[in-house]
Amino acid sequence: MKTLTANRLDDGAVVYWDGAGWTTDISAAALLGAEADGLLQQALAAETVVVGPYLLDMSGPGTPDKRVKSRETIRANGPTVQTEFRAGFKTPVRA
Amino acid sequence: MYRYDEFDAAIVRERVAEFRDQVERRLRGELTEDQFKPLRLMNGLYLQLHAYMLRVAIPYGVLSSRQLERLARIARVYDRGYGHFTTRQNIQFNWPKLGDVPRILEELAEVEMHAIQTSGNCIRNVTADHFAAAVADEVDDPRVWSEIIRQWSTFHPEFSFLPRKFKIAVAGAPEDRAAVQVHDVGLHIRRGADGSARFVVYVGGGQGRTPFVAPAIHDDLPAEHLLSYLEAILRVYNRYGRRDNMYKARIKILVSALGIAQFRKEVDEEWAHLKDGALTVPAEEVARIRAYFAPPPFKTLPARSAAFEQAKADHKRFARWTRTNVHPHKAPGYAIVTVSLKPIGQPPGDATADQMDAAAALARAYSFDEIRVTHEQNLVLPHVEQDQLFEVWKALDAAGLATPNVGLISDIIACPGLDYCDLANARSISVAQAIAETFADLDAQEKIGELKIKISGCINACGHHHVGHIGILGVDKKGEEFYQILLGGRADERARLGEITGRGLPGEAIPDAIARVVERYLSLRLDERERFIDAFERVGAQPFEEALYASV
Repeated sequence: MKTLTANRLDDGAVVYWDGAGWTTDISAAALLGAEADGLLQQALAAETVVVGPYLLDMSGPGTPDKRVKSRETIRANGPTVQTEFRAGFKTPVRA
Repeated sequence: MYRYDEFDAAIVRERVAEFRDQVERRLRGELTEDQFKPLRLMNGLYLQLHAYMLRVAIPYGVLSSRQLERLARIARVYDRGYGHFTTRQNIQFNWPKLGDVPRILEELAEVEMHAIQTSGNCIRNVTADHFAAAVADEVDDPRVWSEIIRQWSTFHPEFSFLPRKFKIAVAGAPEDRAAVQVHDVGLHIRRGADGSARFVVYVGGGQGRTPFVAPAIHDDLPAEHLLSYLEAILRVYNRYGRRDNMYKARIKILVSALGIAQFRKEVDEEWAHLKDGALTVPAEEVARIRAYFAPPPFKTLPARSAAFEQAKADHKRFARWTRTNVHPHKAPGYAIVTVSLKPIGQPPGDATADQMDAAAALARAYSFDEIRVTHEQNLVLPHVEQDQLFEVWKALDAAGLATPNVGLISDIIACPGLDYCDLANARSISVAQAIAETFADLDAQEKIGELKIKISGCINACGHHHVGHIGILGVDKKGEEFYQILLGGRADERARLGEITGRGLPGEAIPDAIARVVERYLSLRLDERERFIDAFERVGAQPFEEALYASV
C-alpha cells in the first residue's frame, strides 16, 4: 500500500495525492495499488505544482509504514517542537 | 564594520535581479526543477522537510544593529516570526515562500547582506572568533583577514565548482573559539619572532561521516602570503579531490589519502607559481580593510566598576548571570556579554523577531552598534561598559535572553534535526530540550561547570557531535530514533574527536544516561576546578561509559 507525496512548489508544504489533486492532509491521501508507479512518473515528468514526488509506504489510511514512521510522521504533522507553528499543517488545503 | 564598496553592492544587486528572474521562470513552469535546483542552492535556498529554508550569510558572524533588525523584519514579514542561528554563524529562516525569496534578498541587499555561497560546492561563508577585537590576548583581529578572504573567495571563478564545499575558520587569540582544527582550512594567528602576525594553517579537518582533526600544513605563514597560499591549497584540492564519490570528496579525504607531507609538497609546488605574485596582499590594502574594523571610541574607565560590583552584591540573579555570560574585555571598565539563545526548553539557537530587535537595540545603545553570532549558537554584545551591565541584563531578562548558562550543560549546540531537516535521521532539538530540562536547576548546572553537549540529527554533523565533551548522534533504526553517544571530544586549540561508546539508546533514555555520566564525573573529579573534559582526559572513557550503560 502506497501513497504519492511531494512538496508544493510555491511554499514547500508537504502534500499527498488524494486521487484528484494534492492535499496537505495525510488522512485524505489516496492509498494506491498498481496505478502508483504511473502516477509517480506523471508527477516526475511535470514538477510544475509539486517538487520531489515519491511513493510512500503506508500501513493503513493516514499511517506511514513503521520503517519510515518517525520521518514521515513529522513530515505529515509538522515539527514536534515549536508546535505553535504547526497550525498551518492541520488545515487541509488543496494545491 | 566593513561596508560594501561599489563592487560589492553591484554584484549583490545583480545577483538578486538574476534570481528574481529565475524564480519567476520556475513559477511559470519555464524552468524544470532539475534546472532550478542548482540555481536556488547558489542563493542559499534549500527545500527542507516542510518548507523552503533560506540560509543567510553573516560574514564572520558580525552584524550591525540595522542588519539584525532587518533579519527580525524578514522573520516577521516573510517567515513565522523567528530565525535559527547556526553553527556556521549564519541564520536560517525555516518557512519562506518561493515567490517571496527575491524580495527577501532585495531587503537583505539593502543592509549589505546576501545568501550567496551559503550552499553548493564553493568556498562558504568564513567563520571567526566571536570575541574578535575584544579580548586582551588577541594577536590580530580575525575579522580583517576574514574580510580579505571573503573578497578573494566571493565568486572566485576557479573555485565555484569544487569537488565539495569548503569551509574556512579564523582565530586570532591563543584560545581557539572558532574550532579551526575541524575545518577544511583553519587559520590560527600567532605572533612571529619579529612581532608580526603569522598564520598557523591547518588543512583537512572536518566532521561528517569521516571526521578528522586537521594537521598543520604551515606553522609560520607570513600574512601577506595568505591568499596565494590558500589559492595553492585550493588548486591542489580542485585538481586531485575526488569528484566520483561525494562521500570522499572533501579535502580531508585527499589530505588523509596523500598524507600531510605529500599534500604539503603538492601545495608548495603550486605555491611556487603563485607566491609573490598578484595575490600578495599589499600592506596598504590590509590597512584599508583594517580601517573598517578600527576600535570603537572606548572611554577611559577604571578597570573596576563600583556600580557593577554593587549591582552584583544587590541582585543574586544578576550576579549569577555575570559569572557565566560576562567575559573580561581588553579595555578597562568594559566587558563582553554573551546573550544566551538557550533558554531551558527552547530550541537552541532560535531567536524571535522581537528578541532580535531587543538585541539590536541593546547593541546600538550599549555596544557600539555591533553584535556577533557565535558558532555555539549564541549572540554576543562585544563591548559593554561594566557600569551598564545591570541595565543590559535587565533588558535581556525582559526579552527572555538572559539565561545564565553560557558554557554550562544546558548551553547545547543542536542542529535542526528531523524536526526541520530533510537530511536528518532523528530529532536533535527535542533531545536538547529534554537534557536542558533535566538539568534546569541553575545551581546544579554551576556545580557541574563547563560541559559542552553537541547534538547532530545525522552523520553530517552540523551539530558538531564529534567535538562535544559529550556528543550525541541521532540515527534511524527501522523507523525509530536512536542516539549514539560520544565522549571526550573538544573543539578548542586542543581539538580532539570524541570516542564512540557502545550501542545507541532510544531518545527517552538519553537525559538519564547523560545524568549518570555527569554523576560519575562529579564523583571522580579532583575538585571543582577539574572540568568534565579534564577529568575525562585524566581517567579515560571507561568510567563514563560504564555509567552511561549502568541501568540500561
